[in-house]
Amino acid sequence: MTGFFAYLKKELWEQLMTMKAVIICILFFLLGIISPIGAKYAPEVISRLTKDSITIQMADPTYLDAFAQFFKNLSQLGVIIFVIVFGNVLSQELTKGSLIIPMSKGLSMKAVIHAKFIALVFYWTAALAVSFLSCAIYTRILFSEINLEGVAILLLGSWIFGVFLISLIIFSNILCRGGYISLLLIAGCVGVLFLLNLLPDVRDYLPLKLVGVDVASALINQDYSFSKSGAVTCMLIVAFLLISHICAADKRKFCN
Amino acid sequence: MMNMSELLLVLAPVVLVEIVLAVLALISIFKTHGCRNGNKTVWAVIVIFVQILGPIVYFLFGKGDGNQQ
Repeated sequence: MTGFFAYLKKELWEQLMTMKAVIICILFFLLGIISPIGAKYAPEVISRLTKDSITIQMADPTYLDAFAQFFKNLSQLGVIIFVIVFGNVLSQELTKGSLIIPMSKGLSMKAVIHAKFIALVFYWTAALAVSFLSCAIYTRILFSEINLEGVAILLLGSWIFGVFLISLIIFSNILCRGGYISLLLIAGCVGVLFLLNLLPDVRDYLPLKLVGVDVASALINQDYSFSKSGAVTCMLIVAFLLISHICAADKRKFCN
Repeated sequence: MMNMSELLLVLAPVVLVEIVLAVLALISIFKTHGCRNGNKTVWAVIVIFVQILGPIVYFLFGKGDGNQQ
């Protein structure tokens, strides 16, 4: 357990020193402010781009548009940025051989996996908090009116989806040695999820349901529920971590 | 139409982020022993002239392994 805490501390510190954590926070901050700005000024920009002979009637943007844009950006661009920045967090160490020394001193591969997972979950939570706070502050300034009721459950959905992707990153890093191959595996898994999403019977059980919600309608009607997809996603997170543990038993030979 | 205060509100954080990132990246370039995927001059030019994305790309793909001079 001491090894785990020491490695967790090292991991949190390393992501900070390599600037990855700072970059993620800055990018998520920009992602947060882009959403209300885009929602506020997009109709004006579109109306200026069209010619005088064409009239486009657009409803005045509200804070709901800003939140809809925010959750859309978060589930697409945000997730892609996070996977690119942290996609090779474990495979890099395995290929460089930097785990050999700590493991020869008794650190188990299980502790490494747990520490990496918790460090990434910590940075995902921090990035989500920075992003949402910047979005909420800018929405308040630009739209004057803001209602945060129901936003927490949508944020929780995005958070669980992010944790699911982190478990997928750990799993793919353990399974594949090269950084780019593990990124391809993650993309492949997400591709399979999109294909499964085409089937109406299983759609409600997929992790994509957590982030594929109509935000404006969910906030107005307060009818958003993801109990099925949330439960399935939590099971998938545990399954990916368990498979990683099983594969890591062989990986120890690889590290030595 | 955007007025001056709205324009400042939109641009100020972006400019601030750009300046902070560029300064941090330049310090890192000149302090570390070598850069990955290119030499120091190329990375310095990218960091200075490619707004926001330049420093981010440098930290992700160009930063050396931390051997400080």
